[in-house]
Amino acid sequence: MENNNFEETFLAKWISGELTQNQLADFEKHPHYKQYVKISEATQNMSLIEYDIDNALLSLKGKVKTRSKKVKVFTLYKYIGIAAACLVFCAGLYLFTFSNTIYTSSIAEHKNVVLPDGSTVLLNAKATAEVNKFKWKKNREVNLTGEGYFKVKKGSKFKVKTALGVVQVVGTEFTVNVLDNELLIVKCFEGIVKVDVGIKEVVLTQGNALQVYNEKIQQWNFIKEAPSWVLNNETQFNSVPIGYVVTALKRQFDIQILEPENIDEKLIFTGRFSNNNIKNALYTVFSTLGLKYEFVSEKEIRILDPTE
Amino acid sequence: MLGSKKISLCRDSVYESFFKDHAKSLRNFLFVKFGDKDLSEDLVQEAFIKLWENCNKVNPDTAKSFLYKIAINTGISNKRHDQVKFKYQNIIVHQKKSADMETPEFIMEEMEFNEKVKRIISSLPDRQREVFILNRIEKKTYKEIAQLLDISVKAVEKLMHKALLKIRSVIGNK
Repeated sequence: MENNNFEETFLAKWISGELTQNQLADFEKHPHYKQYVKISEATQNMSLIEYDIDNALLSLKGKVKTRSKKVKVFTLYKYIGIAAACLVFCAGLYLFTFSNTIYTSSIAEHKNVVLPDGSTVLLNAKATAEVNKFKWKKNREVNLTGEGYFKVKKGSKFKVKTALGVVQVVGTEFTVNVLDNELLIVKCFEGIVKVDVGIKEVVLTQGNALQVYNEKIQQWNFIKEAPSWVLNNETQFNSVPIGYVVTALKRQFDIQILEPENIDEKLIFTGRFSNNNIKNALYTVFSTLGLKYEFVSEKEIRILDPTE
Repeated sequence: MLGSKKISLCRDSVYESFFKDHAKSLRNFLFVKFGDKDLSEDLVQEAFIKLWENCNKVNPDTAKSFLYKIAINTGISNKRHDQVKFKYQNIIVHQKKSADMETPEFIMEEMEFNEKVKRIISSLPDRQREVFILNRIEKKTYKEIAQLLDISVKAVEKLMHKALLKIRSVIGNK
């Protein structure tokens, strides 16, 4: 082992106590052995200057607190993200189960809607019915714009809410027509209907009709079994200002009225018009009131100045 | 997943005990490497701050090597600007022997010898000095040193051997 020189890791093995007995015995005879032992002993008791670990931790904590705000904000965002996701999920759930279902009919369309209890609403053209299915068992309520023909199954109170008032029934057939949220027409075809327009409550029986406009209530009787728009596809009005008749026309036909300022707003229309034929419909409405008009295109009708 | 989450370094208690386990050994390693007390202690702080900032990215298993890598790299880039002189006489302290039966002459002689050894250690080439101090003073095994310096155990042993040869030869010549 110990010739004139050492193996290149010999001293490392010696100082870590990895030499064999024989190697060690040989090494002890080496002229420098005692010096190596002295070095080993001297370094055995050496140490590095103490490290004040508690102080270091303390100062680290101070630095981490001031500098790690970014990190904390990041983790907070994570929680906000989770919370937001939950919120969106709940909102979605709410929308699907608790919120209202809205049925809409487009121009000239009749749409039949079956309500949760089997009652039906036939929506006339350009109407919407909003129903909360979740609360239906407790509250039979429909929010209506436009015209609807209701056939209500017997049961608890059934309410049709409109901008102008509430129509309340127990079990019956009736129509509710809201024009521009300003004019309300209710017709009762069967049973009893209670109309609450805020200023007054009116009870309608079979064959009674009611019109509310400008806080004035008009009542009349009719002998139809079902609405004219259901039976003959006609729209019928009884003393309705011309503006609302135009609204009704627009529900049935996809038309634009040009220069509507030429229509005298005070004109009142009583009568019916066809929902099938626009030419006939316009003729019956406008010519009976003495209005002149022309087709600019298939969908545009210009009202002519009556003074010309 | 759950297991590693539980010992996440982002938790104050985990982070703190990690500091207590590794700070001293890291500081001494940097001390040996750069020979500057203030620098090495600053580097420890820097490295631990970096660790905290990345606590959710660093796997606890590799956190130690992350720590050493950051500290060494920052230390090297700092040292480039400001060449640190090794002042090992100042950083190595010699513990007094417990049995004080020796004569004053003997103690004087021993102190002289110790100072001589410290001086020689300071003058060793960087690698030899690192290995020698880590082994003799920090009491690390060759395997641990090999990992720290990212070299083979054999290379550590060779460096250790050379360091001992050098120290002895300098002492012998005097």
